[in-house]
Amino acid sequence: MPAFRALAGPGFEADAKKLAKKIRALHSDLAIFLHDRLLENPRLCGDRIPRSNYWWKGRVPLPGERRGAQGGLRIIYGIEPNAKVVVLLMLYDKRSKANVTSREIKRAAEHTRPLLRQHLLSQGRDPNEIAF
Amino acid sequence: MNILDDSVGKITAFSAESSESAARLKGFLASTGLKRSRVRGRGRKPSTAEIGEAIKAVTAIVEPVLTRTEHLTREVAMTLRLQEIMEISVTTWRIILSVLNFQRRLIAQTRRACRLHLPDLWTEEWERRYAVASDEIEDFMETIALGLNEEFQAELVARAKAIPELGLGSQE
Repeated sequence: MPAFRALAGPGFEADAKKLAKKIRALHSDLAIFLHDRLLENPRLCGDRIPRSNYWWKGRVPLPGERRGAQGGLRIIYGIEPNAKVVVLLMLYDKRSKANVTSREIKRAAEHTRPLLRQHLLSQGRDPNEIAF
Repeated sequence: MNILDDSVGKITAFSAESSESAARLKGFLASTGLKRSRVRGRGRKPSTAEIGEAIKAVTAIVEPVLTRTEHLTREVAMTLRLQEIMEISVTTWRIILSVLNFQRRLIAQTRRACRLHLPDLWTEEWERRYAVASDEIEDFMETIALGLNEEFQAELVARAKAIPELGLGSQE
């Protein structure tokens, strides 16, 4: 028996159903991932999402599709250590969130630029040193 | 050393390091004439001494870049683990995201330059380290970018409220 038990939200089930139309071996690949890895040690299966305080993001490999963790699915889950429950919240293909992430990367670069200029000027250096 | 101690300083250091690495690599390639066309046989064949020099010079550029990238990914992994007790601001997350984005480009450019001009010198070990670092950076960037995205955060909250066992339905 795994150390944790899973609690799937309605959104997660809908995600899985939708993805199963495109990925034939989804259910078996997901079951193996959950049973052998996530529910055994959820803290080692992903990283905590900044500013969410509770939710973690993990990578689900899809051996049935010959896709490793990098090109696999992403799973968002929460951990209830006292109840020994892993809450499954969201499942998606990396490509579907690519726009969200690239927008934030651009925004971060724009936001950081003035800070860097200020920092370089305070050190008496040329602000044009910024290479990105 | 904690990444949060001087994130801005680190970005400028990485920026300077990048420009320096690129300049060193370019200067070195120009000085030896070991360009792709020559190595491929259209020009002069490099001597053993030149190849030895090339290995030394390229190693001196590539090794520190890869090692610093590995240090950076370790720092970010630790920051993600310890964020609960560190109280990291949005600005700091954005800075970390910028550093990662920058470092990803730096290692990709270093690899591309080496493989283009000196393909035989880019070792399997470097390729393995590059692949691991690049994969880790992409994953961290993805996680941080999702955390910074308001729409995504709102979606998380809405979905969590739809799970009755979590008892969030009545909360605003």
